[in-house]
Amino acid sequence: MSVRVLLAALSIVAVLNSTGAHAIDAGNFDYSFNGFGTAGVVHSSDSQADFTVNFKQPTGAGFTHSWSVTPDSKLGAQLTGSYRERLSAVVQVVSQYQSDGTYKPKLEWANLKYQITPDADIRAGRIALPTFMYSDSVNVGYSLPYVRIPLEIYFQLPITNSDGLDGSYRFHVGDATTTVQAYLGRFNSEVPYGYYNAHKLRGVVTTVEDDALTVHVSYQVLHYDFGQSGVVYDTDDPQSVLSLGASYDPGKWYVQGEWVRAPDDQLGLYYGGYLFGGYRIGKLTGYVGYARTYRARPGSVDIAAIIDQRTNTLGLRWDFARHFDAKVQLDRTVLHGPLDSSFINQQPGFDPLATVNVLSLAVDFTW
Amino acid sequence: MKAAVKQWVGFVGGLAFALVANTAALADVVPVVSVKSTIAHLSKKELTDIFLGRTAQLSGGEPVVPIDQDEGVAARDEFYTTFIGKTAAQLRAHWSKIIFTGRGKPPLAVPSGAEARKVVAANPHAIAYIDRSQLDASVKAVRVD
Repeated sequence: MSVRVLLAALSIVAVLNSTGAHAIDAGNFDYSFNGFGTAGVVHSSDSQADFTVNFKQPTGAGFTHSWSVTPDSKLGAQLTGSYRERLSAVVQVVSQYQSDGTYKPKLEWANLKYQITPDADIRAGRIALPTFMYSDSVNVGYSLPYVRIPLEIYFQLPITNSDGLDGSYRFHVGDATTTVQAYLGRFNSEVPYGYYNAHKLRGVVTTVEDDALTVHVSYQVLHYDFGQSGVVYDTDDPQSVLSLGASYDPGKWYVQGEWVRAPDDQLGLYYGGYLFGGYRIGKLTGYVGYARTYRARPGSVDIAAIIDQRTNTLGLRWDFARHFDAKVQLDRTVLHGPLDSSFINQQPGFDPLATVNVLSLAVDFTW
Repeated sequence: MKAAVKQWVGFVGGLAFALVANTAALADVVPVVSVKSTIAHLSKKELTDIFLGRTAQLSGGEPVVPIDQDEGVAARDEFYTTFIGKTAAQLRAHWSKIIFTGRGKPPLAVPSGAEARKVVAANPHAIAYIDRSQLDASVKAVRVD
């Protein structure tokens, strides 16, 4: 879709909705225009490699730039329309640093939803995958307690969206609200100088919420093709991700954790997990966390573990104004080598067993 | 003398406990529905599920539509901290996850308690919150356990 046409359409709606996220009610139709963004800068203490936050970023903080805005900065805009509360359409475009080195806007969500009952719906089109507790809102910094989902689990997920179908059903048992979501699709994604295409992509996610406790259980399977710089590395490689997450947030403090088991036929069996806790005083939330990932056994390809590291995190979130928050986060990552895929553009002087300190400053907003 | 002190401490302690336990009852803000509504009382859990978008119907299956007051209005902040246990920032983070994953949208928001009362009075399925002083014959307060 032409970006110019999309931007023109969005600006018309923006003029109509000049004070932000409210709906125009024209009888049976309901529209709303919302957006989010993060302005972030990251500094890495290791100048021999680039710290990145996902597989698609071609450069990062450390080697290319000591201080870099590319890892976390992004802007998203979403248009939602609904007809009589039954049929709705959502289009969300996100602009962030990606594999071709630009911030070209990409379609993150684009689907049609039919509300079968108030508790059941079915969608066709593009969704963001709900693999981890926060992954379907991973780009909305404001909704995350930390600057980014810990890379020790986020790097287990090479694909972030699905083009296909998904259905959701919500029911109540006692005091708990349970939602079950199932999806089926495929997704083609670009990585620097290559591709990562997933097909036979399917999964089930169950979320149980009871007062302060939320439990998230997710199982996802896919087959992928991966090639980079002219070399075809994988064809039809099966990979699955099992994720168990829980969050307890009674208000003044919270604790949350997630555990991931991701076997890949060719690359091996990986485990990842994190445990975070936070304490709120007024508009400030201090948080600490620990995350770890390693490979338990190799796969059919003779290759070393692509990621094996642990990170200690200390951060502060300040909800300084309505619709805004600011975060400062220090991550101390100990690399266990030898491949360290979360650090790219590794220079001859790079130590695969290094300890890297990463400082991140971010301002998130939504409207 | 010791007995008197013990009695006094007991009295103050009991009063403090009663005040804390009944914060919701003493709040200036109270949930309201139309006088034509079937709702007489709700549990805190049911009220929370309605206003956080976890349910769109009552236990009997009747639809229920929550109505908010605009962000920044004191009654809104008081309602959410007293009855739902969420600050404005926590509420916004909650809805941002729902809006940006296409799962739903926050309740319709009106600029004032008087507006909220008007909407509720005209719609037997609506529920809103207003200041106790704004109660009139068109709406009735909902008891929350």
